[in-house]
Amino acid sequence: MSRSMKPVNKTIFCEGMTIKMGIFNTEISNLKEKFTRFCRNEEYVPYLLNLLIVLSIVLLFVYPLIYGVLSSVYSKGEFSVANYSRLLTDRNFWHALWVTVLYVFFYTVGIMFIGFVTALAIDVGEERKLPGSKILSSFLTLPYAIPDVVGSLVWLWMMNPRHGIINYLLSFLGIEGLKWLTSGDLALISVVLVGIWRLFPMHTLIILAAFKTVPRSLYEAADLDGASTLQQFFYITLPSIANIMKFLVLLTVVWSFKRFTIIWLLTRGGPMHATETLAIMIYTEAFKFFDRGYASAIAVSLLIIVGAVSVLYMKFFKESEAEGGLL
Amino acid sequence: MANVSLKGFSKKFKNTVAVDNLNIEIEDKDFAVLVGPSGCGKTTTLRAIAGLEQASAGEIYIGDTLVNDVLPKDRDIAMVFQSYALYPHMTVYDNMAFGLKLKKLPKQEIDNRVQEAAKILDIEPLLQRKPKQLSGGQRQRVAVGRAIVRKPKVFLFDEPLSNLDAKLRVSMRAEISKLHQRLGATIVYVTHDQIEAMTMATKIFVMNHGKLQQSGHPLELYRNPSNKFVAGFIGSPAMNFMDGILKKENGRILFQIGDSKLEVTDSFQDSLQQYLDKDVIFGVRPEDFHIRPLHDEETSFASIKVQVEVIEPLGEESYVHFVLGSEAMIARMRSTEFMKVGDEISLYIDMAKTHFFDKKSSLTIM
Ligand SMILES: Nc1ncnc2c1ncn2[C@@H]1O[C@H](COP(=O)(O)OP(=O)(O)O)[C@@H](O)[C@H]1O
Ligand SMILES: [Mg+2]
Repeated sequence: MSRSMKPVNKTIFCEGMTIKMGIFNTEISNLKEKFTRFCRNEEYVPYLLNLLIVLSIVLLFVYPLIYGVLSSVYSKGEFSVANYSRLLTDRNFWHALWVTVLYVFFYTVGIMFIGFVTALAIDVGEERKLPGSKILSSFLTLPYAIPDVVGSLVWLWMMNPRHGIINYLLSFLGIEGLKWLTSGDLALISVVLVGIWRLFPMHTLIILAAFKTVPRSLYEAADLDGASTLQQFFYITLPSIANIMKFLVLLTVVWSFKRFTIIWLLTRGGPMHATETLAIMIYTEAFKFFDRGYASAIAVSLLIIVGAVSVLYMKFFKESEAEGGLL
Repeated sequence: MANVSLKGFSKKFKNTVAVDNLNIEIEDKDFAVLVGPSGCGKTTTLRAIAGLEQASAGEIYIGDTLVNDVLPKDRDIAMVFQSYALYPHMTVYDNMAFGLKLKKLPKQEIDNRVQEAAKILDIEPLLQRKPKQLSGGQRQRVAVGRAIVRKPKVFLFDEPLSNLDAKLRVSMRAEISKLHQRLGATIVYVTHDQIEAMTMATKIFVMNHGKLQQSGHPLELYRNPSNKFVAGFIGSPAMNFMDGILKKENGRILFQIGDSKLEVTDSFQDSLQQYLDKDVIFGVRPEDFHIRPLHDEETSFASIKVQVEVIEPLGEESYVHFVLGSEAMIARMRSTEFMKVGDEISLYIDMAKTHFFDKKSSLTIM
């Protein structure tokens, strides 16, 4: 529009009002026509729909992000990198980062493994039409339906060293008095396990869906080629679902970096910071020590770390896809 | 010997009977085509021969072996799937070599076979590609290649050309026929396309509703269909059918449709006696309408007057649409320059080549 306005402005000075008005009128009627066409053909619909999405992204994502970055580099109205320099020398931060990495690693490996095994069991069960396989799959999704708070409470009771059912059962095996959530060695394992328990049905369902995307005819072709069930699994199933699995690993890593609720409810980051991940640390800094600037600095670092991990992973993902390698 | 025979083969899925008491004899080195409309049980039959489907009843023989309980891989067959079912993450080479590797053939032997098949199918430059980097026609060749390298006694094809465009289909038809001669193997080929069946088969099996309708050499089915279904299914454009009554006038049997009376040729006079004054179905192929009677056989031509509704020129010949009685008909004519839409024209039916069907049983009246 700006391009077509220019000659109009020129005429104001060179030719006088009448001609200018004439051109201006055609401009206006052009615009009008465009506008009516825009409305009549419902061309505005995609813009309208996108506007909603853009608005919600700005409100829910961009605004908090900018706000967070700003509050990490402004203290008392002045620009300052003090929060970041403090971060670099804060042993608690490095410890929390290490705990986070451990948590993410064991959580991802564990949930992928359990999701895979359960999905495989259900798939084989349904394939062979074993009784109860349908019920099993709906039963499995139960943890996913229970709220974090309720689930954590139940596990708190079950993991109670004295009265919990887990130690009670273990006592029959001669194992006594494990402090699931209160010993520095066990606490991280415990929160990882409960975290996995809470969300693995999601992984089961996704991996199960991945199994179902493999066309039947591929297995039949392999049958004719003389591949055993195990060979079919390795030569057909695994390569076929590899891409979905890689993507799922990436999502799991990104999600688990930010996991907060379950850890907080079970241990509050203790004992002695043993389960204090970056997410927990951000929370304590912000709402216990009310140091919002420092908390924001940690949050921004977490964001950068997660972003870097994703980028590296995607790169590796692309390369291995180009090679077409197994998994 | 790689003859294939099904004896009383039936297949039920829960409530549907997909194939019902099928008896099929395929000789060694035959190019057998199972043809019929969609859902008539062709694929089910083929899969049962392959061992991917268990027979509900009946016996399946490959060679002289009863294979009902033989695993697919031990039946010495190869199958080309309708979807091709190429392994998406393997190269063309590996797709073809996979079965041979599993059989633990020596590397050199595997390589020889793959290269040879690639040469036959003209896919040598594609060997290192993945299936998704191939066109439909190329995928189809790879699927055939995967079958060839196994050197099976019997090849099974399930509608291998149905995903290709019309032009490619025509050329692939010829190539598969050539392949058949070159390999000297038995082929069982499934299609819903009667043109494929006519052009490729040494023996056709026409199926409908899970039952075998008729089997035989393509031209035999064309000339002597045993029932109305086969008559209508084989041939393109399809045979024209009309309902009418058989009358006797002056000692000759006539077929009456609307106002027209068509004198039945001598060869039918006896067999149609028992259908006098009864409803029958009369069938004429589009090419058996003529502009003028041929001189030497004049007696066996009956004339009708019709109004031209549509003319479809195809170049060498044209399809002329008209209505007779209440039925829409198509005639296939050489020269149509003299007629235009709306014209009243006379057509001569070559009565010696017509067919009569029992209205109740749909069987051909001989
Ligand atoms: N796995 C199956 N389960 C249930 N019904 C099936 C199955 N496969 C085929 N059918 C039914 O059997 C009939 C024949 O199918 P099919 O052999 O695929 O026909 P065609 O290949 O001739 O089109 C159809 O009615 C189809 O719906
Ligand atoms: Mg089919």
